[in-house]
Amino acid sequence: MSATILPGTTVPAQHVNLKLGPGLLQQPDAGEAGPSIISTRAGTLNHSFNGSKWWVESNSRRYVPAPQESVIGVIVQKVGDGFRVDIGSAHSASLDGLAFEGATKRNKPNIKIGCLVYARVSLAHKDMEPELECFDAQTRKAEGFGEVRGGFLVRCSLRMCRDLLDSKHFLLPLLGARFPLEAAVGINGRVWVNAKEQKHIITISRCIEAVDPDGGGLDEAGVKALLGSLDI
Amino acid sequence: MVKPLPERPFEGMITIHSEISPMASSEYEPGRSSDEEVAITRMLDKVLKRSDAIDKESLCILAGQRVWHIRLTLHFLSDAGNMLDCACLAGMVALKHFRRPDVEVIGDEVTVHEPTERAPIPLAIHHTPFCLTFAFFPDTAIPPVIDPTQLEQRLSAGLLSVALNAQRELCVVQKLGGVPLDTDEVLNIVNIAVQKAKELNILVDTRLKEDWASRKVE
Repeated sequence: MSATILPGTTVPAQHVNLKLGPGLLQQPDAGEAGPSIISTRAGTLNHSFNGSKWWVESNSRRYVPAPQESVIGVIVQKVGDGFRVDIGSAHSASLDGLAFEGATKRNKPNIKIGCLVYARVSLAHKDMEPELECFDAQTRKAEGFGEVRGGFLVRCSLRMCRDLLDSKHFLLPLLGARFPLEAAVGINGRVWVNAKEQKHIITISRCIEAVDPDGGGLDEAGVKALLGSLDI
Repeated sequence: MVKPLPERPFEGMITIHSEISPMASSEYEPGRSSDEEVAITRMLDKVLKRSDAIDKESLCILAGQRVWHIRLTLHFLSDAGNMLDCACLAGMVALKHFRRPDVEVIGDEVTVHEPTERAPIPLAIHHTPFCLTFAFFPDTAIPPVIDPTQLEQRLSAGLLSVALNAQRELCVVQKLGGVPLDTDEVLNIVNIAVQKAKELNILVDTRLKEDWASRKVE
């Protein structure tokens, strides 16, 4: 069901309700049979069972913002009413001071420069500055978004973040069984972790770097061996 | 090929261009020189130009009228810490790898041969300096770390950069503030740096030989 593909390769994706995921582009020029689909990334080509959804799974370290994705950003500047946030994309994102749950003109959050926020990308176009919001789109409540305090920021590849967000991945439950931890996974290659003791935080950070496909790609048995060798 | 400087009519010119773009990390902004960028530019200048690694007189074609002007451009793709060492290594290897067109001078006439006509010739390099950076931490119980990563560099209290070649000759010693050091520690560090420089020298020579062997030259 999956084959390795290089950028520029034509993809034989045909369906009535075709949906293209990341890494695929529709070229509107008239070939032999109408618009052709080509890949824009190197990776493995996957498609759903009935052939209606096609996408390319690839790994990279640079984040390209897309709407409705949760990211972790660092406040770099206070601009008027809002903040300028670094999310690792080409442009800094803007976060309005009122884009928090329960914020009014008199009651704006007081976040300092250098603080971390967990936010949702609300607007992202290729040439514009992305915009962030700190509440859920439908319920307009915080739902975990907002400023995060304490803890430590770990950087990893984008594939690792997507794996950590997958509820079936082994790493976070395995570590959570050993000691209590909190984690906020941003899809922009950043993970915020917090635990009561410093050595636990360092353990989580080392495990994430070890399981990262860029840094070794350790599997479950490897992680257990690594945990055994650390002093926790 | 350009006209040489009037005060040095027998020497060629080397310019090094190393601006850190935001591609390296989102902390760097185009146009604004961060402290690190200034430090790297100055160190590259000292290590590659002022240490006389390249023989500038061999770049002269016609004294007072024509000399080679070599332009070295460094692009920083990703900041993983210790960009200074990488920049020095990359610059040095690029200069060692480079081949310039062969030039024939008959009287006052200068003929530049195409690389397809005559094999291009390498630059005349006196010695190969390598730069090695050590990071020190505020807690003096932790020994200095060679080749610090991004996190280690950020948390360090000071950095000591030593540029030397495999023949145990010191070119540059640069200490950017921070923790005071004993003479014993500094000498120890220089010894370790010499070992590393020797290893790097062997590595660079082997790779350049491999690359040269894979090219067809008549």
